[in-house]
Amino acid sequence: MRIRIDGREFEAPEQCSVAAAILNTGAAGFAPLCGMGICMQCRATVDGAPLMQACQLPCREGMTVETR
Amino acid sequence: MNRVVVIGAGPAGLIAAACAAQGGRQVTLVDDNPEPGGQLWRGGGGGVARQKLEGVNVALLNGARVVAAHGNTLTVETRDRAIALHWDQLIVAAGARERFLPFPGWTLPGAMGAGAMQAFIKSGLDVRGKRIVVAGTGPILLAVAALAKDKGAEIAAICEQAPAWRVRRFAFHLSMAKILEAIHLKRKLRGVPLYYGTWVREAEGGERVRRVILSDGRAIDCDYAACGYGLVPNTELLRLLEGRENVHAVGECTGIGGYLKSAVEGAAAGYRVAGDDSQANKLRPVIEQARKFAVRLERTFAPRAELRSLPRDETVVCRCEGVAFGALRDLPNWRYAKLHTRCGMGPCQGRVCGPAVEFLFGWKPDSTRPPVLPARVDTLMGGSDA
Amino acid sequence: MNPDVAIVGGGIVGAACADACAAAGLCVVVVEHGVEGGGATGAGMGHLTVMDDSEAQFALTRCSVDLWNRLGPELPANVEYTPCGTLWVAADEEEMGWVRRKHAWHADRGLRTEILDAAALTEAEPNLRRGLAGALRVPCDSVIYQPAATRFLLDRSRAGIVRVRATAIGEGSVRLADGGQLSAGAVVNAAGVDAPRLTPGIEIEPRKGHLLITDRLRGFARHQLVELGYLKSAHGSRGDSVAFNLQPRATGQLLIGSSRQMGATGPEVEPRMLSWMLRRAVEFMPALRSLPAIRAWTGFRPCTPDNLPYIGLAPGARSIYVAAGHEGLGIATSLATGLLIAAAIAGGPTPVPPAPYDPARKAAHAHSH
Ligand SMILES: Cc1cc2nc3c(=O)[nH]c(=O)nc-3n(C[C@H](O)[C@H](O)[C@H](O)COP(=O)(O)OP(=O)(O)OC[C@H]3O[C@@H](n4cnc5c(N)ncnc54)[C@H](O)[C@@H]3O)c2cc1C
Ligand SMILES: Cc1cc2nc3c(=O)[nH]c(=O)nc-3n(C[C@H](O)[C@H](O)[C@H](O)COP(=O)(O)OP(=O)(O)OC[C@H]3O[C@@H](n4cnc5c(N)ncnc54)[C@H](O)[C@@H]3O)c2cc1C
Ligand code: FES
Repeated sequence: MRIRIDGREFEAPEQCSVAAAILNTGAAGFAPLCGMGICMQCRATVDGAPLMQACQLPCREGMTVETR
Repeated sequence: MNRVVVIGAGPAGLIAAACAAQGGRQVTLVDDNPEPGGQLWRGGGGGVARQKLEGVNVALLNGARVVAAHGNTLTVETRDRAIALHWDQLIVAAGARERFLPFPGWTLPGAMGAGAMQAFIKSGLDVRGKRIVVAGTGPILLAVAALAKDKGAEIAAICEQAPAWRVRRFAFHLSMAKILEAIHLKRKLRGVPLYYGTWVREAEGGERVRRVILSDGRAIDCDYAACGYGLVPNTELLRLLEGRENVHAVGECTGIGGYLKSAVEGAAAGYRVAGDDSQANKLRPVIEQARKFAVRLERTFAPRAELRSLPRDETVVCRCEGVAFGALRDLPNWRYAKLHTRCGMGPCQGRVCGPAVEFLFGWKPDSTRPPVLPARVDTLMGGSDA
Repeated sequence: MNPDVAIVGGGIVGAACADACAAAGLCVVVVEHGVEGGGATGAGMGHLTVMDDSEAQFALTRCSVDLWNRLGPELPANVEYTPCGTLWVAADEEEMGWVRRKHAWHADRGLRTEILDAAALTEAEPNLRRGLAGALRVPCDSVIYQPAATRFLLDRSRAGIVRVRATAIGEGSVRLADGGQLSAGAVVNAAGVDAPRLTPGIEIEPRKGHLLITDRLRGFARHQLVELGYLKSAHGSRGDSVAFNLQPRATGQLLIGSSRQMGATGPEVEPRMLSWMLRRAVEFMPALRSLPAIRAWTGFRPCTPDNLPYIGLAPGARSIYVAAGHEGLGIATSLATGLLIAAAIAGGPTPVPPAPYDPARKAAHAHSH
């Protein structure tokens, strides 16, 4: 699956959450804490929608993610 | 009508839903994750979670969070709509979350919870070739380290804050199954340094974590620091429902006791709402046993007093609102801190800093109001009925 | 040594009284059994606004908003003083008529306001729905984070805080729940909705309100936005009502209000009221629908029968003063209230003529029957 994170294309495995995908890219300043929908530190703009909880959201083909 | 709603599709909720449905009840199971399974079977647990529901008639609502409860109606929010869910019997199996205690550097990218590391690996985090320090407390540390190692990580160290003698005494009382499980994990972790009575004092690195300093002064280089200080029950929904009849709380949200406690409490509640009290009563002795285990677990892995002195004045305690330890230290209570520093008033609603300030300062949580989780305005305007 | 003034109540009104008395050279003690700013003050909105319900209300709000604006630059950053102005939104031509009348009324009294037509309103606040008639802009209005302002005023006054409940007030003394007694030259009852318990002869009813706050979404709105229909909600019938009232906070959050209920006593968030209030807000600002809300809560406005606060000597008293009953304007009018109380105690000029707020007015009214 290909998704765009902060303007760059990445390959994400099946069943990968958006937060894990962002971590895999090593995006600067991204510091999610809990991985389970509690801390709200993972929020990102996904396909234009702001403040989405990235750890609760599976990646989908063609998704666009902004971490700030 | 006898509509049963179960909140939480972890082991407790899945088993409760299955037992209630077997007894002929109409059951709806709501969970906020994309897949059922809760913590243990996160992401579905390789199909284990859905197996629990095979052959029984349970309506599963995934990616749906319960944000408010009023009368016999729950307000449930999904990605694109709001649902008003009516119940006659409600089973709350909301599970637990990790406890985080602030230390200098805990907000750096690369620092996260121990359970969080596990959850992230299960949802696609690539740890091949990464150096990881797993720290904090509880049996979960070994599980996390074993999983990470299995996925190609190098475990630089495991630091358990509880002293070795206490963990040994705890192990002495374990069931055979649990002992075998522990032996299995330890074998997987052969060669990994495991320090008891040791904790992470600080995480360092400019942009992200590069090394951690342990309580004994040792510095260990790493890419990730996974620190979790046990679990705390998710009680927000229960507090909102306080005083209501036909509400059954099961699993980790009633106290931390691991899989067995969640499973048997879930089963008992499932039988009970299906009217099968005799089956439910049969489980009583097992539940008692599981609860005793929960007490031992809590005693063994209670965070030690030294952890209270880790944060410095500038260490952030409330990450949502950016409130530092120094601003909180001398305040009388949480209500005061909330009002005057906004500690706990951000989007996580004190789920992270609440247990931390309870440990650091002894502050008790105050009132719970809807929404218990962030919700869209239109959800709170009232959803369609289901 | 006994203090010159003992103030019961550490809300914004008590804090402003403490500040003004201290500035007049008096030594002050504040009796507060809860958290400073934790009553109505902490539950409210922090909108500092000039209102024109009556000449007396206009005088008090205008004077006080001026005082806030002068204080603004001195306020610490955590008070989040934001001079954003208010837009009173007119839904239709009838309400546009009110806008023009208000504009003229204000001009007569030397207050500069501005009429916005539909196009100008859209430009000023693009997230409002199309089809609204226009608005009245009141540039001098502003917004603060009121608990921090309360703390600031208390700190500046150097008042000692006594953390006990006051059980009774007498001439020169306050009885405390711990059995103690506090002697002072003057006593001020600033206990908000609880003031009548300590001062018989004044009438204050709690008027419940709901609020909801969103997550941080910088730039969604620029002004405090209030529908003109709010005036009906605030001062019209005593039944339940809601009005569109939206406040952009310095944090980027939006505070959405507001509701009014008489006779509701429990603090619980009521889904019926919350939903009604939000529906009203969404009618004006459809884009609010999809915003993430993080918290809802309620508070009780201290409401008097004539909608004016009690400020001055308690009925029949010599050294007991009342500063309570500010309904939905206590944050705005606190500073002027403080000056009136300080002037009443220490002498000196009053910022506005005090007669309309005389706590004995109701008593006098009752006697005439
Ligand atoms: C981070 C973490 C890691 C763990 N790792 C292990 C491990 O490796 N091995 C082990 O044996 N045990 C582990 N545990 C303990 C494990 O939680 C228990 O063994 C068991 O899974 C508990 O089951 P449960 O059904 O009670 O709760 P959970 O499994 O926690 O299930 C609760 C479910 O309810 C959902 N939920 C909560 N609130 C709402 C709401 N308002 N709306 C909708 N859904 C909601 C949650 O998202 C979750 O899916 C871990 C616990 C945590 C917190
Ligand atoms: C939803 C809502 C929105 C609002 N929005 C605005 C707004 O935008 N702008 C505005 O100007 N106003 C607004 N208000 C009104 C404003 O909040 C109040 O008018 C104001 O806070 C009143 O202040 P107070 O100090 O009189 O009362 P309080 O803040 O209630 O203070 C009274 C204090 O006295 C203490 N006390 C009471 N009895 C005793 C006792 N016996 N012994 C010791 N201590 C005692 C209490 O603990 C309390 O702290 C709003 C109110 C609500 C509810
Ligand atoms: S990582 Fe905590 S909410 Fe997503």
